[in-house]
Amino acid sequence: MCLAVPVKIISIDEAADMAVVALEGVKKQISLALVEDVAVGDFVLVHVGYALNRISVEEAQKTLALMAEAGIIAPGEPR
Amino acid sequence: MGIEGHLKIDLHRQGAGIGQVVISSARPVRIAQLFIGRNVDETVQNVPLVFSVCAMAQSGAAVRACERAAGIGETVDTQNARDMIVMAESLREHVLRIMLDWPQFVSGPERPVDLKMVMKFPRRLQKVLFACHAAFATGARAQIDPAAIQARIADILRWLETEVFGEDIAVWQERQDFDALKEWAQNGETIAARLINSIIGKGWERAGDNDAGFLPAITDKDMLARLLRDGAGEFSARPLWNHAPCETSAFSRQAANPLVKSLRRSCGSGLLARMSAKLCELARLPRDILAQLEVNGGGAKPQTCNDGYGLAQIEAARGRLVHMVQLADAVVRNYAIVAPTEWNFHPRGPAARALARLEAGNEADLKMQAALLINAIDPCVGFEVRLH
Repeated sequence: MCLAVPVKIISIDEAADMAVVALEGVKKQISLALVEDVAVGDFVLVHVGYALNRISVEEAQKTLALMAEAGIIAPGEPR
Repeated sequence: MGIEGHLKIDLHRQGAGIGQVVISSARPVRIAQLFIGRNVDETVQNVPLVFSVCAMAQSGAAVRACERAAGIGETVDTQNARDMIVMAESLREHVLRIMLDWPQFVSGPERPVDLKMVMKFPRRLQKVLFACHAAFATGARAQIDPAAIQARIADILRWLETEVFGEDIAVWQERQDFDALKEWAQNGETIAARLINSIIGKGWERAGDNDAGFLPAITDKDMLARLLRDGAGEFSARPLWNHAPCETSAFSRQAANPLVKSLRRSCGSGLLARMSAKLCELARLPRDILAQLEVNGGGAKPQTCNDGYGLAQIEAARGRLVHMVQLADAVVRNYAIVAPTEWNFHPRGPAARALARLEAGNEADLKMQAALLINAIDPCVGFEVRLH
């Protein structure tokens, strides 16, 4: 199954087209090469190190709730 | 972030080759249980949220299975339009593998390529197939704008010709044997041409050659019967058909393509034929999408309601994707998904068999061949190769 994880953008390095995101308290650097018009605080779907697209807070919350229900992430609010 | 799952591939060396291949999957294959207890609309809305990498294919399979279980008719136009969006997503996925993954296997400077247009292609197509309405909601009806579709296909053709093929696609498709492909690869400057040239230059055309079988056409009735016997989920996690592992991929789909057929005859079912099959499929997808417009559409397709059971088989980027749903009182009682990666990366499947045939003089070459083969077969998750 092709899962991508919603994560919140913490910071953006525009020159490198990279961002730092956070999920479950873990920070990670991802590429923004495939998306446009994203800002700090936005949620994006991440797969194998790339942001695939921007999603709304509501979509992120719903997706994270479904993933928590399926037991693949810990329950909690999106960070 | 390991939430999306990953594959661990352990290669145990024996002499110059591989003695044993062990593929361990941490992919969450039982996640379809999540939909049990939800109604059809909720299920169809949730599928693309959870399976967002191939969201169009997953949504297409989910809505078709759910509509069949609920006895909702899908018009021919709607079925074709949904299939066109799934094909657009396959095009995008092939481009991502080529443009994001293949550069690591070739040397020389990289020219930055803007992939954002390709990323947006499936959604841009969806807008002109469903007049900006949701394509994968239950009971959706296509409202097709042929002129707008042709314009979007023309855009994507131009992009592919510039960034991937480096020449007119119709000209590239006339390259139907090793020599014609080699001539293109030697003179081409795109990342695709450089990778093919590198495989030929290293003499790795046959790497991974094996005779693993392709997944045959399976009737919905037979697939449904098999899934209904899969209470423990063994088939969904490690599928076999007639007790045999099978491949379902761009390579199996393009087996009849003249170039792929020729390469298999001259170089076996190794790296060159596999990588070329991905390019062959990518080359034909724009015109295959357009060809759906020519199919006579119209009225509602006769719909089979199998006592609350619905099954859909969709050709997704990485191979055949199956969704099965059982409804009772309009609520999901049973849901199963069989994804192509489970066939292709079965512990005894095509990836394991191909990797077991690798031979290379040194560890670095062996690792690179393994990574190329895995990339060609294309799991939808990250992977780690370990040599022992």
